[in-house]
Amino acid sequence: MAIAKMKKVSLIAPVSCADGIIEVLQDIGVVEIERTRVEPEKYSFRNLPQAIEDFGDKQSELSEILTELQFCIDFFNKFEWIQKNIVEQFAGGKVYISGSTFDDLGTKVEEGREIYKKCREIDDGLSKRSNEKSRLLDNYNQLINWEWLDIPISELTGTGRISVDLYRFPSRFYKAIIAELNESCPRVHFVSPLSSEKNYIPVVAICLNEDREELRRLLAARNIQPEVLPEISGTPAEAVQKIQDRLSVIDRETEGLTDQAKGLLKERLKIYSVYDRLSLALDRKTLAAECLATQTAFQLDGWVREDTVADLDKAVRSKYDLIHMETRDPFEDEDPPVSLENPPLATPFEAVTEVYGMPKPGTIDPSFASLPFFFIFFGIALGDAGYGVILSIACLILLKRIKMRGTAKKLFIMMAICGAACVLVGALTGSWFGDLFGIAPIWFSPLEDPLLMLGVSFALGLIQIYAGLGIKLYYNAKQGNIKEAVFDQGLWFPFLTGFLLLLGGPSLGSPAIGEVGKWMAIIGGAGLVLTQGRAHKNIFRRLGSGILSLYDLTAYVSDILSYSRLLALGLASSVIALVINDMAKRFLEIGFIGWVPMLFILVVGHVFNLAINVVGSYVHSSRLQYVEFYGKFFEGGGRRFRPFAKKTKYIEIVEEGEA
Amino acid sequence: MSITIGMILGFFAVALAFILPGVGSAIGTALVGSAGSGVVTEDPDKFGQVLLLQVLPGTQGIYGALTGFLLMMKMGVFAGDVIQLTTTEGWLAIAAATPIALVGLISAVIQGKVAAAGLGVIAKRPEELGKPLVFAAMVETYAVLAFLATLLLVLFGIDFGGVA
Repeated sequence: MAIAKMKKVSLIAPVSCADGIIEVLQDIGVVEIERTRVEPEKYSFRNLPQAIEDFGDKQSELSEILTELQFCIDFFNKFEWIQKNIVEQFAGGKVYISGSTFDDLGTKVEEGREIYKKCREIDDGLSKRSNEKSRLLDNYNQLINWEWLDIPISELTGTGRISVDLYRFPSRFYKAIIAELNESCPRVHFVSPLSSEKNYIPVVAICLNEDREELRRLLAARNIQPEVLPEISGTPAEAVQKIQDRLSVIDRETEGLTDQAKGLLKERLKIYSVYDRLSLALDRKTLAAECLATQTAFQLDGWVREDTVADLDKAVRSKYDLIHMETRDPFEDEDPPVSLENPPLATPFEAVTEVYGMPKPGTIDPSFASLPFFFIFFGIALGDAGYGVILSIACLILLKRIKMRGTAKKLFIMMAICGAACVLVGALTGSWFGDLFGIAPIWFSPLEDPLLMLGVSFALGLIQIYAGLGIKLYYNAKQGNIKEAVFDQGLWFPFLTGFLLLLGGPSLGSPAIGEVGKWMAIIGGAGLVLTQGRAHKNIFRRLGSGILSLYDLTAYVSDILSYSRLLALGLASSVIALVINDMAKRFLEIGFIGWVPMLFILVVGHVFNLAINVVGSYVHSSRLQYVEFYGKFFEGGGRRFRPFAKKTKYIEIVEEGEA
Repeated sequence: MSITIGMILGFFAVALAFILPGVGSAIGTALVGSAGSGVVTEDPDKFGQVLLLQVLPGTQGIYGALTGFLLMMKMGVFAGDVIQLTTTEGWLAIAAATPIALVGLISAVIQGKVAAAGLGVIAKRPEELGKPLVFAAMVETYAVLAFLATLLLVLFGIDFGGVA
């Protein structure tokens, strides 16, 4: 119903208990730690890590081991990628194990480091081999061109007077180049293979040392450079053979290493456990840096919800008695974090608020007030009872299968509840998977009477707008701002109602209603003109601002019109459902065999329609809350309450037996 | 069966309803999809969230298709016997399809841009997914309103004597 009351808690205890107390806090997870405020020159405080010897070493050691373990996890992922399904991507898929298994596996730090060494070794071995393989392949691709050359590579260097160069000529210009060279360097002798199928023809050029420069210059002009063969003993053909032998050895070794790596995959759970256990420890060390300490005692400050103070007190005192703990209300200048507090049914709807952002401390939590509106808007926007049943069941199954926390959990419970709204609206409007079963509407079908549905949408919108104004009025009145409550919100009720009656009266068939509306609008409007300029002293500016304020009427009217989206979204999903049913049923005309394509189209079509429209319904129902409703009274800017708790990345600790 | 100018105009209305919002949605979803691949490269687990943003500019195409189907029903296409519309009736069909055709086209493209910009939020602060969704939904408001106009015009303003 509201924003939970926050207490500031201060805890003072001997430094020797620091580690243990911080661990208790992490276990219970109800305190958000805040850096203690002191005037440094007044006291000779240090922070807790400085007070505890060799604390820093431990922290850096932890970080180091965590880096190692992260390497293992990434390494494992290379060999077996664990695919998260689409829901886990939103809700966070973790491995579920029991607390005792976690403690058992998580303490095996040394084993974890051993596994890291093995992983590292395998990884180094693999990358060494893959580097060698690519180098060998380069050599292979080069040497394969010279396989015909029956001379050891080391002897292809020439003698004191003769030089030997290796070139590759493009086949297309081979004859032209040879002819040109024969003319300009007649003393050069060329050797090439008898036949070459490739784009390039390998050529050995043998010449006197003094002709070499000229030959190189001429070929460089054609962009042909001499090749240098890798230094391998034996003829090119022998070298190629050697490379092939070595490559097959490398492939075998790589396979062996990969098998070794896959053998390590069974250690994954252990690595996850150690990782999460150590990261929890690192969190504790990091937290300690926020605390101040003297030689013997330390102080820890934080925020705690009033309703959990007793739990906190019990948890800490059951383990440590030499502590001083006190709680107090926040000071004026303090900015407590915001946590929402609602009755169980409304708790899931906190997700709507949490997605938008937290209200300012001391203001209103709109979650409870949003509940009926979000519920019914979602129902109208999706508007089909069959879809509602499927949505609820799907959400409940997912909630059972996947452990979720925080906003994600609330969101899925909310969707499950909203499925009921769809059933309600679908039953009223006779939509069960469209017209698939031909069930008659309890009330009316929006397809036959969309104007009535439009009226319903506007009416619901009007109710929500009045509710928003009412909440602001109540809040202002409670704060003692009676003037604001009456003038800024109160006067809008007669003015807006009167205006709408004036507009709608004639069409309702009663001119009397229009007459009443006229006077309501005049009275409300006059009140607004007289009061809305009250900030100004000058009488003309006063009246001017007052008259301008009537212009806000357009905002209210456009707010109401915005609710027409409910009709449009509802019609969209039901008309698509009709089209799907119509297409599917046509297959029955081809006889008994038509059942197969019919069922196929029905299933695929309705699943598609449901998926698309659930997103649309959620987004537009949210928008109606955020813009049309929250806009009337919500004051944002609150900081979300983030208690210090066990935050794990890979492991979710569950009850024994659930793992 | 003789073909009237009205029938051609009527078919043209159906074509407009399918083509323009469809093209808009294709562009819009493509904008989000191609930018979203970058986010998914960094973290494949964000696929679901990116997909959620990507489907948003897709709804205009569905509204257009829906309008097209309704017009076809009105024109008796499904009954297998297309009604011989007069020229005026043909123009009526085009006029009714115009709101969703034009607004659908433009809003889908623009919504795609807004949604693509929202991918940054998913990349850096995935817990704030709701906010870019709402930004994108703001743009869609006008497509929803235009669709509402077209829907009411088609459902109540048009009666060619076919079975609807």
